[in-house]
Order: sequence, then structure tokens, then C-alpha cells
Amino acid sequence: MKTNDKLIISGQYETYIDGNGRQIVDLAGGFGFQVPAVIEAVSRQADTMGLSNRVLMSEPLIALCRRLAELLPQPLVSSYVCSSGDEAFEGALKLCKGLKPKGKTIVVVQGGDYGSLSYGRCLSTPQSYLEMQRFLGFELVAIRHVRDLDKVDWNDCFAVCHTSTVTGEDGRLRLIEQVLLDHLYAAAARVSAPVIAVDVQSCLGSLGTLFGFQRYRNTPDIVVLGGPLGGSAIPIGTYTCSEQMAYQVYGRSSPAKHGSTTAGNPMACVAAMAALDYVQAHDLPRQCLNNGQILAQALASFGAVACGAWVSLPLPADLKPAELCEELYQRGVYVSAPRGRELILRCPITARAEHLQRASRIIKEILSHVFNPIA
Amino acid sequence: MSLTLSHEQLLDDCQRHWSASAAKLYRLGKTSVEKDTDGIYVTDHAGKRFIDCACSYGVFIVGHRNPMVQEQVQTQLNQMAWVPEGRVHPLQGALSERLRNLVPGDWGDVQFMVSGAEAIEQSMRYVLKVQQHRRGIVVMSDSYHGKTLAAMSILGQKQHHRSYGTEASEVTYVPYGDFAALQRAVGEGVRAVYVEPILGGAHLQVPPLGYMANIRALCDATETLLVADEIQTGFGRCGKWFAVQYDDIVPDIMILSKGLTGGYTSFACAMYSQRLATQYPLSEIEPDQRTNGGHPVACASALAAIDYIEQHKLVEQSRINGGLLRHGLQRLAQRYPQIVEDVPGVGLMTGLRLRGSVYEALMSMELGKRGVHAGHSMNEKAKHPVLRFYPPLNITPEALRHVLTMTEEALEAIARRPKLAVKAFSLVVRNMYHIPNKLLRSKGKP
Repeated sequence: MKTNDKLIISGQYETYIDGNGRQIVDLAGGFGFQVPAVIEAVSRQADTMGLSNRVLMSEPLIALCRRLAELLPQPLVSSYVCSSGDEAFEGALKLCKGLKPKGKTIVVVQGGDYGSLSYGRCLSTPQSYLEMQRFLGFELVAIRHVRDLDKVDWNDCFAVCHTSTVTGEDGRLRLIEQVLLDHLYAAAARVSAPVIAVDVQSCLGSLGTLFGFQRYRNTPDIVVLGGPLGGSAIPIGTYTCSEQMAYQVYGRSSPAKHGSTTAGNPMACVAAMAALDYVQAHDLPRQCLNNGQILAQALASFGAVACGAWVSLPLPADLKPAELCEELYQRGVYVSAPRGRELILRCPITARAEHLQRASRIIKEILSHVFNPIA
Repeated sequence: MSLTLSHEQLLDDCQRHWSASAAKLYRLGKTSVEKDTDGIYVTDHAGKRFIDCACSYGVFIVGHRNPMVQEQVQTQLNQMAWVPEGRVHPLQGALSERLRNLVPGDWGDVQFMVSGAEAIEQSMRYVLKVQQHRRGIVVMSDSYHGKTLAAMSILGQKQHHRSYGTEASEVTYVPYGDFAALQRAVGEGVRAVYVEPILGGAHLQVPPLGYMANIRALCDATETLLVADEIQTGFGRCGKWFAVQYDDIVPDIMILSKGLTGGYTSFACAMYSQRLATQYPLSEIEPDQRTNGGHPVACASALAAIDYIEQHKLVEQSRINGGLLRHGLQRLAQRYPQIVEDVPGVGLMTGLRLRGSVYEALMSMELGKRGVHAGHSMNEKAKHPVLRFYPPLNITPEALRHVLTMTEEALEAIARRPKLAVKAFSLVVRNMYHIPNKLLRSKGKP
């Protein structure tokens, strides 16, 4: 790899210019680069105020929370704004701990990505963080099938977590089985354990719906947003619950109980509102579905399957993922290194069809000829 | 300056959609809406201007909307604001190098995060892995290392543990400044000692000279890692670039944040000594280095802020103007001993230690009326809260003298209040969050 390959200099929507001046189509997901409407809104805010000194009321913060209440299903109306989606997920767990301080057990749907903070890492890759889990003093029960629910000490459970997609044991990206979620929600409801839907990567249209959890018929008790919510301008995350739940934990104590120095700052809130405006004005959930189909159809002969704008592509057994990613990059397509035997192509939410078509041609060509010379 | 919604509607939205307790606070305090900032000033929707000595507990080292920082933020925002996972922007490398050269010591890995609490968490994961053959983390009572759920397990403000059940069995708390107690807790060695070189938060306390040097020596002797949390103290706030310089020591891990933000973006970092980075590279200890921190706009903001601090000699100004502010506050403390206990701090990291939360509430109100914001502890149960004065480091002596005059007027106004009225207000303050919002809403409003 050339020295400047990893550098990123500028970009727009799904395409960026790397340190060697080459155009690269980004298939690592997110909102998309330098979307003018978002950048302009944040830039205007930067002319007035960056961070807040947190003494007076903040109009952008309250406006964002109101906006989320309008978009999310009832009774999800009270939002807490954090510096990132990962931080928001821990915030959501903290809210659950506030409801049941003596609870020690977290139930989690296996195969999800729960983010980069400590609890998130323990939940996503428990074997790598056993010492951290022991230090933090919680029990983790990972669920993949309905029968796994019997393993849970439900009286000790203080939170139930699931993402909008999971990676199966075969490495394939897929939706969670509806029947598993139905049983999970029912079991959690019986012991009043809140269900957290972690919609950090999948919010704002990636799965074909504004929020990823809307692919299912269940309404979570807490929704965590982040990732693309900041419009690829300023990081931001939120968790939203019912007014009653929020009041139970935070309503009768100092706001500092859940506070943070810079979370919910005006620039971040403006970025989120501009991103939401843009997604709705351009019907990006539908565009995401179309974009996913473009890639999946072009790569159908290789077994590609779309899940919204994300496409899971199985890799031949003899193919080394790192070599494939490097070859793709050299031809102008950036894909995150796979964590299993499937390559996950994630179209940015604002990706333009013609650029994805070009990317799909490159991928097809490489898979057909470079790594499969017989074809 | 106009509001999009009426003030009452905003309060209702705040109550329902963000924070019911914040709405109570705002209603009781008749709090206005921030609209504009400039230098040391914050202006509300009614056009009233406040000198900002709160600064979100010290974030605005270079002031609000610092022109040098603003220009770099705007330039970067318009060029490239984001980097996908696995890619880097040149400014990230530039900032890492700048920090390695700026912070005293020999530094290796620098990991950018989006908040101080995230950086603390990252250091905890690192400590637990590289010291897995040991047990125990020692932290200081009343210390503050962030309030994410994992970071709370080393939070010294123990009242929060009851609410969340976050007490970790492996963590030992010792009184800040008490080296003998620390020695006993460390014993033959623990995984790490976490310490703020100057205790921040509502318990502001400067340790005795030599305290940090003693901790360094103890950690060396017992092969315990020393983690210095300079989130509040760094970048000149304490009168030196970093508070560890008062004892001329180098920690193994350093956590930085507030000054790094440039007043524009959430930002923090964890720095690992070259020795640690060589022995236990971060890329091996935590191969998945995903983070939301260190995006190009944040790096541009941080680099510009560091340039500004250097070029305008803000560290020296912090020392000189800090002396002016602290001496002025000490003079007032002597005049109003029934209200003020003492004036802790160093540099432009100071405040009034008050005789109860009622005085903190009264002082905040009286200062607010006079156009000054100070950093409230937000702890209505605190017995000796420190109302913090953490102004931007580029505040002028004239502005500080004005702050002192307003503080004197505020103290005088409080001293004139009948004792019975103060006692009655104390009841309100201690129970303010139990008052239903509907009782606090303006009359005649729905």
C-alpha cells in the first residue's frame, strides 16, 4: 500500500480524494461527505456559537429533541443528547441502571455492533473484554435463538439490547428474526426490563426506513441514534425514551446526573437537524433501497444479498479478504475489512446511483477476473 | 434577537422532550436563551450580555468564537469534515505530533476520542489489559473522571453510585492530598492510580507541593501505572501548560480534553508514554481502534487553539490574571466569612467555596443579574460547594476587575437578606427538583 493511500483529503457524498489524488468510492457506510445543505447549516452556526457554556437554555438542543419526538413513535418523546452514538448507548444503559441499580444482567442479541465504548465492546466481542466485564461487574447473556431466552435470570436483568442487523455465524449480514424479537420483547416486558434498540449505524435510511428498528413490528423502550445523525459534519448521538421513564430516573434530581461538558452542543444539534431535513426532503430511505439493489443485482451471481443500502457478499474460501480490499482500493473502491467471510458493502446514505454503478462494475470485474481467473 | 418559539413553549419542550429537571431549574432561575457568543461574552435572546466565568467548567480557554480558531474550523468544515473508519486525515497526524511535542515527557500512542469520559474509558480498558496480572485501581474521593456508565466505576463523587449501582469492588478511594492513605491503598502495587493533579469539580483543591512527585515515586517503586486526568487543568487553565508541571513529573497516561476543543467541538485524547507504547502498543492492546473522535474539524480547532495559546502567551496570562482574580476573591472572602469559606485554586482555575448550596444558588442568581456567569456545582445537597470562576484565559484585567466588583455587589446583596429568608430559600434549593413543573409554570399559560 502506498504511504498516502490511507489519507483522505476532500470528498463529496460517496466519493473522496485520497492522499495520492485518486477518486475513491466509499462503501464503508455513514451519511456521505460534505453534503452542502448540512455543511452550510453547521457553518452558519459556527459563525454564531460553537460550544455552549451550559448556563442558559439552548434552542438548537431543545429543537432537536422536539424533532426526534415528532419522528419517533409514541411514547418515545424524551431525548438525551450525547457526543456520539456510542456514548449514547452507554447513556441508555445508564438510564436502565438508574431504573434498576441492583440489576447485573444485560441480555443482548448476538452478532450486533454495540459500539466502541466499554460496555459496547463487551457486548459486541465479549471474549476480548472478559476482564473489563468482570471489573464492571455485570453478567452478559447473548441470545441468538428463541430457546436461548431460557438461559436468562430475568429477575436480575436490567437491560435488553438489540441492533437492527446482525452478523450471523457465517459472517452474513442479516435482519434479526422477527419471532426472536417478539419473544424477547415479551420476556423483557414481563420483568419490566427496558429494551434498547441500538440504531446507531442504521438510522437515517440505510435499511430503507428512517430508523432501522422500523424494519420490525416492535416498539423499543429506548432508541439509540448516532453515526450518520451528525450528517458527517459533527459527531452526535441520542437516546430517547418515554417521558415517564425519563422522569423516573432524572426528573427529580440535578440535570448534572446525566450531563456532559460538550454533549448536545449547538453545532452538533444543527448538524443533526440539517441531516434529518435532508434525508426527509430527498426521501433517502427509498434511495438507499434502490442503491442496495444496484449493488446486489450487479453482484447477484456472486451471491450478494441486499439489506437496504447494505450488501452482504460472500467471499470464496480461497480468497484473502485483506488482499481483496487492497485490490478494490487500488481500483478506486474503499470497503471496510470484513470481520468474517462476507464482505459488507455499505452505501453511504447520500450515495449517488451512477457512482455506485461504477463501483459495482469494478467489484464484479475484480471478483470475476483477478481473483477468479478461470471465469 | 428573536426566538423561534415563545420562552414558555421552549420551557415546555425542554420539560417534555429533553430534561424535566432542567426545566425546573430554568423556571426557578428565570433563565433566558443563549443566542450569541463572542470572546468572553455570552448574549441572551433579550440582548443581555454576560461575562462567561463558567465556560462549561473551563472549556473556553481561548474564549468563545476565537477568530483564529473560527477561521480554521470554517476552512476545514468546507474542505473535509469527516473521515470514514480506517482512513486518516493529515490533521490527525499533525495534532498527534504537536501534542507529543507540547506535553512534557516522551509520548507514544495518542488516541483521539470525542469526550473526556470516552478517553478515560479507553485508558481503563488499556490498564486492565496490560496490568491483568494485578488487581486494584486507586482513585481520589470527590474526583471526577466523567459520567459514562463505565467511567462512573472510578468516579470519586460517590453519591452517584447509589443511583446507578456502579461501585466497582476493585476500586479503592482515598482522600485527596493524603499521601499516607494513598500509600496504604497502593501497598505492594495495584493496576493504576487515577489522579487529577489539581482536584477539579465542585471540590476544587490544590494538593500540597510534592504530592504528585510522591505519587510518581510510589508508582515507580510498585510498578503501578499513573494516569493523570488533566481534562480540566490542561492547556494553561492552572497557570502552567499542564498541572503535572508543578511537580515536574511525567505520568504514564495523560487524559486531555477541554482546552483541546478550541471552544468548537467535543474532543479529548488519551496519551500513552513511549515506554508503554513500545511495550504494549495500543494497536495490539485494542486492535479495533474505532472512535468518533479526532475528525478533521476537531483537529483543526485544536491545532488553532494551541497556536493561539502559544502566540498570545495565555499560560503566562493565566498565572498573572489568576493571581489578580484570586486575590480579589480572597479579599471578598475575608469580608463575607458568613458566606464564603475560602478561595481555592491556582491560575484561572479558582472559585468561592461557599457555606452551603443555598449560597451557591443565591450567588449564581445575583451574579446573573449583574451579567456574570459562574460555574455552578449543580449539586443542591453539597455542604461546601465551590462556585467556580473559570473565565477564558484571554480575559483582560479590566474585565476581571469588573467581575470582582459584581461579585462584591452580589455578596453584599446576599448579606443584606434576612437570615430567615435565606433559611427558607435553602429549603427551596435543597428540594427544588422535587417541585412539580406544573407549579412552576407561568400563570395563565396552558
